[in-house]
Amino acid sequence: MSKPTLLHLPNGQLALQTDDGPEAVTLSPCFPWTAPGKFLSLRNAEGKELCFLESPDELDEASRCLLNKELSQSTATFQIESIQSVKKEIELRCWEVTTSRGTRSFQTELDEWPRALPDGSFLIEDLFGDLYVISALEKLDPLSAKLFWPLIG
Amino acid sequence: MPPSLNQRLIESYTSQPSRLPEHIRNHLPEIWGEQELILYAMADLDPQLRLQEQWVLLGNRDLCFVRKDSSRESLCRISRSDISTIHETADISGYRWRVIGKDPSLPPLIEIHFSRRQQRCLENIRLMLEAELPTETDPELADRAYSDSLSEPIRDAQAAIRGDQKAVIWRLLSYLKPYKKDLWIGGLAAVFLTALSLVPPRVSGLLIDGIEARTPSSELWKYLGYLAGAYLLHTLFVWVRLSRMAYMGERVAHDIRTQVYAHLQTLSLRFFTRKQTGSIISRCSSDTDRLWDFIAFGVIEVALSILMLLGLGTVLMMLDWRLGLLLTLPVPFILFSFVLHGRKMQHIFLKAFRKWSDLTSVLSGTIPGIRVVKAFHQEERETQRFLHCNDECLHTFTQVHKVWTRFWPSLTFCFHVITLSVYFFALPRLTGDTSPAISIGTFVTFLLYAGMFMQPLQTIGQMTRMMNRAVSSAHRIFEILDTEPHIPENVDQIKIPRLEGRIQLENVRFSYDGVRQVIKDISLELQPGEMVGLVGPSGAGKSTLIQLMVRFYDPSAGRILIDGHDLRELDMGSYRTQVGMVLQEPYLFHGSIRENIAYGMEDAEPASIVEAARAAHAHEFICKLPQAYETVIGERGQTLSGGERQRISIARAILHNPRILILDEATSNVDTETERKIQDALDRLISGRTVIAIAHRLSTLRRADRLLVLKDGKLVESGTHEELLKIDQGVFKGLYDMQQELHQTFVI
Repeated sequence: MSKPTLLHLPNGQLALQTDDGPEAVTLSPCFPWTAPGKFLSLRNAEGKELCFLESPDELDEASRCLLNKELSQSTATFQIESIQSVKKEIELRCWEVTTSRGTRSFQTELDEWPRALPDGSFLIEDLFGDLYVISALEKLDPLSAKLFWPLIG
Repeated sequence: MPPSLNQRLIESYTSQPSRLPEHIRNHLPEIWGEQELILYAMADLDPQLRLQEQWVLLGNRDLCFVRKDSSRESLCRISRSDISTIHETADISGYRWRVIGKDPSLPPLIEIHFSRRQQRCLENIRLMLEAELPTETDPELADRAYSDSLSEPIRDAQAAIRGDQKAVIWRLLSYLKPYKKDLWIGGLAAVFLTALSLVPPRVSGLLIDGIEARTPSSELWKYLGYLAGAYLLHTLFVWVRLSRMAYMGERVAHDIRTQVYAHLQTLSLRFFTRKQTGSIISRCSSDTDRLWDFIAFGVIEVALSILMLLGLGTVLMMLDWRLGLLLTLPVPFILFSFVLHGRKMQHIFLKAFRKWSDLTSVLSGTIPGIRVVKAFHQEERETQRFLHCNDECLHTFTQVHKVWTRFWPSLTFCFHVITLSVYFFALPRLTGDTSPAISIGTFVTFLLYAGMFMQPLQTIGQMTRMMNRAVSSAHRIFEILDTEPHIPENVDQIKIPRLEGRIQLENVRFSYDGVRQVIKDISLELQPGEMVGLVGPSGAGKSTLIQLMVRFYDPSAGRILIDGHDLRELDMGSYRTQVGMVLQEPYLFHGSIRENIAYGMEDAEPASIVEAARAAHAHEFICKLPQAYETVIGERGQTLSGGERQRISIARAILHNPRILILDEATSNVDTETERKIQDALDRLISGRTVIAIAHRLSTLRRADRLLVLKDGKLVESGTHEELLKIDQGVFKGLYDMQQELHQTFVI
């Protein structure tokens, strides 16, 4: 069986070469935290799976390059570098942080706790569904570590 | 114009502008000439996914992108007529838009990136562009759409009223108005109580000085009389204060509970779907209870503690300012130590709460799912998981105990040191080695007053925590009280004593979140006595359409007419008593079967109840129960089978004799035999009424006069069972064939 081929459509969308020509696809990583970059479902506009990749190694070099570029976009999160403050308000926990993308303030619900990821970092989801990844406690500066310590299990 | 609540929320929480910046707004005529601003949003990520401020502006003719760089503002203007579509890619924590021109073989006209926070605002623009909806010219629409979309998740998570703490406290205290008399009596009793508690130490001192000075016994007995009087009055005022304040607090909590519950009944389903049931229940119960505690004791306790400290300080300074300073000077430091200790405890308690949350999530996960745990033989694993969380809890709570068990002895030691200092400085004066001399009585008075310092200091130290808890509860309660019913009631409502049952929908549109259209421009008419089946795949909008017909929600556009009257003009009470609903998951209340069948018709005759139960095929099984119709069924009717619960709900509908009957998947959760019985009961129920039925099993809708097929919120097919089967590639035929195939597989 020939290797699946990925390409870019003129409008910039990622596409899979099918028997009927290139078809625009979106990438759905099945295990974004436990197996990042693997087990990828490629789906068309109707949500139908056109291809399932256990690993990018199933692709040729050019396709793999496109896939990795798309992956870096589709799985990008706010990387928290330091925490300035975490304050409790009514029903909300308000965060002031510096991320790799700039300073940001966001809120989580009081019972929404940071989730431990396999690599030791933590994932936080805010009220809007934006995701923030923060390194393990020992990699944080003292103030950030102090503020973050009570919130992790 | 002052900022709206939503704009204030955006400013406080998102650190992004609460509306389009004025300088961009002012430059709009230069940017795109004479056209109205319809909607705007912010795309907050640049191509490298760094945070930025780029505004997306939708006008009558153009879609514009204005980036606010540190030094300049860059602009990209695209004519709406040049846009064919927008490709949206949903990433794990953000979105990408590619605005595609008329020639799809060319690169996109523009590509933008934004976080999930901006999605609702931008979705509004995309929908407006793609659906080519009629553009409203409401000048405030753009601001409102932007601020509503951005603030909604915050409002949903938090109390909708983000008032300041003082305002909340004042509002809370306004509930005391009807109980002014109790408040005065209780408050005065508390003040006298405080003043009286200063008397015994002073009298004791005088008594001791009297003994030392060999004062006549009659004088000494007088002091003892003062002491006895003070203790008696003290007891009396304690009783007055406790009883008055406790009763008053209870009555205030009762008033708030009643007001909250009554207001809850007026709120639309939208409120209940937004808030978790547990959260609403706790507002009516534990939050009001917490307020009782605050009103009855908290406010007075704090006020009295401050009064007590001032009183103690004054008396001590008057008695002997040198020793008085010894006792009063450390007070600010002690208060500060309380604050520091409070902060430390809060920090460590948060950790303990986090661990506790892990433990309870193991419990709430495994106890309801114990069958699965056993079926997969995971008892040992679950025990280990619990053990781990339990150990973690133990570890954290040990830290909690370590902190407070060190603090309080240290504080007590400080008091001992202060007492020793009093001795140290007083002894030479007592023995006459230094001047001015001090009497033994004054010294004992000092020691007794010193012992009274601890309690008010402790109360004041805990004041912040208590206030925060009370304000938080008050906030949660006021949120309910301040929520406006989404379904406004008109003043002049039309009452129709007996509905004919004609239902007309005219260009009805509906969206739950104001963005995604769930019902898209549906028009249809149901004749009185007609039975119509609603068919379609999951998510087609069938249940939503029904909820609009009973006015759980109002349409976003278009109107629904009942017997020729706009549903919004009808009196809901009189309308809903003539509408019956049999749902997929029938809801039974805790109470007897009789009460459940006669729900809303408390005066129903026993004979009518039995007749309704017979018609619903429920009479037979009810009579087999130990107390027949008086049998109390448990919470949500869990003691009955699914089919039995359903037949009771059908009996309820039969007894109400509705003119319009809605059957929402009434037989989908029961076995074939029960389904046959329920179907038979329903057949009796539907005759002579307008019936709208939803069923996944298409065979159950054979009796329907007409079937309406919905797909993606649109009415796509309409006709009889046979007519629809003749439509080649039709949605109904597709669903029917699929079910037949499934049935064949089962038969094989």
